[in-house]
Amino acid sequence: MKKAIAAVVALSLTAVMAGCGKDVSLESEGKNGKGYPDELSIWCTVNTNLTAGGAKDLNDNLFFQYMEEQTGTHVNWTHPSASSAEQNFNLMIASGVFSDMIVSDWSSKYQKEDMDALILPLGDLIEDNMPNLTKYLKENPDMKKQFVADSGEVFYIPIIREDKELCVYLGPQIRKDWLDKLGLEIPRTTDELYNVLKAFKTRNPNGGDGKDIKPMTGTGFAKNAAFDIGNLLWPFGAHYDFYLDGGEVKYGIMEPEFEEGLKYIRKLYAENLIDPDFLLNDRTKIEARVINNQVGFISGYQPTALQTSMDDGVRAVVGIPHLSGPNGGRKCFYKNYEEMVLNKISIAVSTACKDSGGALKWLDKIFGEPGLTYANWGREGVSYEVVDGKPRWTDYVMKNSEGRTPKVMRTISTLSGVETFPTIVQFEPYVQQLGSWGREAIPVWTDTADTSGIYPPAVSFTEQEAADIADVMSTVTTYMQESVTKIILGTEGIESLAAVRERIRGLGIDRIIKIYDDAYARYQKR
Amino acid sequence: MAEITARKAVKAPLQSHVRWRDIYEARHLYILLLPTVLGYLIFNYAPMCGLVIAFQKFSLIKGVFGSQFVGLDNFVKFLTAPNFWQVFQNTLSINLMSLVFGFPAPIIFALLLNEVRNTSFKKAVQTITYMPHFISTVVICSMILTFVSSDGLINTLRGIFGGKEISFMSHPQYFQPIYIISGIWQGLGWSSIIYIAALSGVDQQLYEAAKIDGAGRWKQLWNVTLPGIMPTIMILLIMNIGHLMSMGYEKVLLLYNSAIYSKADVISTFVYRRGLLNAEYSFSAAVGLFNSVINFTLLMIANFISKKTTENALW
Repeated sequence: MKKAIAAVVALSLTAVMAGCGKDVSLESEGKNGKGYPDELSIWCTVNTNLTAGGAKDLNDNLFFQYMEEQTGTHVNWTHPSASSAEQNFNLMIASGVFSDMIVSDWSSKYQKEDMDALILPLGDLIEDNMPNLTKYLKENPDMKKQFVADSGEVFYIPIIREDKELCVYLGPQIRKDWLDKLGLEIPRTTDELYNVLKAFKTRNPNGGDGKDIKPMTGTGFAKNAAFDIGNLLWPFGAHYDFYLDGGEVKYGIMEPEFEEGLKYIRKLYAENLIDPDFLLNDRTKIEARVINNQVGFISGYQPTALQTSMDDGVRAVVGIPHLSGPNGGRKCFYKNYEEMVLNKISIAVSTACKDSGGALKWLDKIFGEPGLTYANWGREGVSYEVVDGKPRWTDYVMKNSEGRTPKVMRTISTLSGVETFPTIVQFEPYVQQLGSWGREAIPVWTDTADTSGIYPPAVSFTEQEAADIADVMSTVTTYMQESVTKIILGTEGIESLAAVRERIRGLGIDRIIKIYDDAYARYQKR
Repeated sequence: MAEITARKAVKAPLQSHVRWRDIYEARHLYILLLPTVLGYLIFNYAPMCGLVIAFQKFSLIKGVFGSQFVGLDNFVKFLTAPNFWQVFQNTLSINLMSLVFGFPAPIIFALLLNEVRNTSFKKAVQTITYMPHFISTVVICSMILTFVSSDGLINTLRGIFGGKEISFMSHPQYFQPIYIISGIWQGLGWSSIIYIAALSGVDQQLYEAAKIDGAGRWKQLWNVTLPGIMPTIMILLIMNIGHLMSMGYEKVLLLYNSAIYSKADVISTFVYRRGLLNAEYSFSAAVGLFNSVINFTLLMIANFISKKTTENALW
């Protein structure tokens, strides 16, 4: 018995001591000659492309190897997988042992008091230690506006996208070869789309018996903006979420345009032009249906992935212009289109960091030349080469001898390819590795989208506001999805919309619209 | 009189002395028991202290002991939520239906299997029915969704008999039957194991005696087999009733969609959307505690009734 107890005690002591050991290694005392810390610990999720490229952690990435050569700083990474990131993050907070720098979604979710205990305000620190970033933000005040707090304080540095085109990675797309086969033009209005879908349904362009064709598909109403069936509301100037109309915040279903758009979707569904199982769809199912020649029209991510699995020289998926409705507008409410700054992925310096100045100095290498080129292209002669004065990916990235995709190779060669660590992302390296279908879709979508109605994704809410929104909207959204879906399916008449609006007003939507209005006003004043 | 008092005085210390000696003599058994007891204390009882966050506005940084105390706010928030009654009713009806249809199914299955005399056939049937239990819920659910989709197995079968295509998952009235039937299919074989074991424990002499008395198959079943496995049935029933309010959210979450919330949204999915996605830990804890209290009460009632009527009980 005594022995057993002794064993238990010994075991738990070892555990405690192991914990102590970790603590000590976190301390990065002293600096090497250049003012960079000897060691940094960084907490950062990574996606599976990194391991698919054979890298153990980000120290195997060409960019961070360059960083270590330049600064002499060794980084100790903590990489939770994306799926367990939140749990891992909470565990770190609860244990009280923080990494020096943490990449997370700092823009929302956490209560203000938690943030204060966790991370440092960066305002003066950036001025003093990050000349490159300071210069960039001076030249691009619009970018800065999207990640300073309403109080003017800066807490984190997000991923910054240099070009608007980088945000345009989703939109409507159609089977061009089907159109050609049936002698049809690319649809530009809702009426033309209706005729095209009708032709897809009745004139079996896939050469089968026509029964398996679902002219268009998508995901359930107001569920997943990328593929949403509700995106058909947009040409009518209507939306299923909050949006701006001449500077005024509106909530989709409460507005008169919504009814017109909903009638259109309902008509398509009633005439069997929409996949009857759209409620059960997710991205995989939708893309599988496109690849299996069952679907002709979708909204979704740029078609590089589709091209990889279905390009046979005959089939073609092309991006089409955002449709215009009966009143002529080409409204597009993809929030992504306005997301020049990706607050979801932003780096902050934790309160545990011993040398915050040195850490930021290290980080600043990313935001100035030659670091920035390195961050976007990797190592010259390895991942890219300069031809006629312009950088181009080498075969090492584009046609890898070990059969790895360009995307995977970009992840292990560059920082912007990692996608989970802040930097300034450039357009050229991104677009060069896209397939031709994806490359051609981007300008079509960019030129035809009227994004003036998008509620800026960078607006932030106070803790109380966020709580009120969660309180009301968790009920409103569920109820709105349910009742609108019933109208689309035809189990409820369009006239029930009045009662739905009445109930939503009763649940307190006006109060929430007011909150969105206030937050937007604060955002404008930043 | 004095003698009795004296004897009592002697007896008491003697008894406790004997008890300690008993423990010492069986010390190896107690040591074997220790890890289990410790396991329960550390992993099942100690974490219960964490329940206090149900009464707090929990903040990860401040931890369980530093967070602000808000009393019953979280409970009030849950009970006054506009769709509280909907999710409460759905949870109850899905669980009650599962109990009413799902509980007898493995018993009937075990009884049928017990009558089969061909051993290899019996073994084959058993193995096949266990199978779904070992498939992950995620896979099961995507299978179900494929089966019930408008071009899936069920609609193809209906098509053969001239039925019209129905997108089952778009209509609320089909959700609960699909959930319950698939649940039975999933658990039938596995849950029957315990009854099959109980059946093999029924004394064969009783059957012989019944036969001599002229009892047919039905009479034997009714008067020998069922009473034989009644204790097992009652214990399992009580335990099932104890789980009445707490159904796993995975299967509902994987199956439901916005068109059928009215019949499919249950407490756990409501909490998932509210508590986990929005990181409202206190709220989730409060709902969890609310569920546990109801479950515990139901368990006590069921146990009491069973004890009074059939003399079978958990304790």
